Amino acid sequence: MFDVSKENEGTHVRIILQGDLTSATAPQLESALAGYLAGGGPPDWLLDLGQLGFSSSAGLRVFLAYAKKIKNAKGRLVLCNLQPNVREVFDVSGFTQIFTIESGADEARRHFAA
Amino acid sequence: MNPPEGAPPAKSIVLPGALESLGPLADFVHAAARETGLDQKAAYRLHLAVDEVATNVITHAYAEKGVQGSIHLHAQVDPDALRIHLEDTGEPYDPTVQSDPEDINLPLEERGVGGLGIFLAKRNVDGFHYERRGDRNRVTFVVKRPPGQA
Repeated sequence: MFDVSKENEGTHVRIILQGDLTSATAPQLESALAGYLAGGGPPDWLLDLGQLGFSSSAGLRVFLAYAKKIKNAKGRLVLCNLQPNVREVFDVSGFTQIFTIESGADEARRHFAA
Repeated sequence: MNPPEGAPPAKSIVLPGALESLGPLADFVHAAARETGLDQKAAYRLHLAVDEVATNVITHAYAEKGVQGSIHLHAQVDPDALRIHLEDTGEPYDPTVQSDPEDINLPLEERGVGGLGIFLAKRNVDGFHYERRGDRNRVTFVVKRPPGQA
């Protein structure tokens, strides 16, 4: 089970991921994010992983692809609320160094404050 | 007929070699982990390892080659460890000898995720073994049981 939704919070969009990211569900995330990027909303994205219970390398592949796309579009990407198990996968994969990761949504929003 | 209440989880399951099987695969691994008394973190890591190898089989051994196949899972609860065996009927392939990705410390622009799946599989279990048995590849994942539960 996996679900993704988005809220426009003014300075940025907050994208909320729920459930498990595997090779079976990653295409769902990929197409949702492609739609958000094409939709012409705020260029800065807050990815809220608080309800993401699992991510395999298929999920990491999507995160990496969109980190590059958002950077190319001159936007900023901040991740928050990673569960400890997901955080460990980020650490082991070297993703902690290449992503901006905050503990909570409030800390993450400070990156976008005018 | 449903199994009786409180019955131990199935020790073996055969799933279609398709990505949709990754959900039932997760359920199978978590049930075996529960039965073995693994904590939530160990169960997560085992699930990750089995998911990555199964994804590789489904994607590379079956889908890319246009081959129909199955994923056979067997849970072996031993006094010292939980062993999950994953078998497929693809061409002989040993994931345990795959070298680790070399770009893990590179900056964003140069990062890829090639080879990351098997790297994660290897890193997240206590033992990761391969053998060819007849027309099948068998990968065995070993997770040691916590002390005092044997």
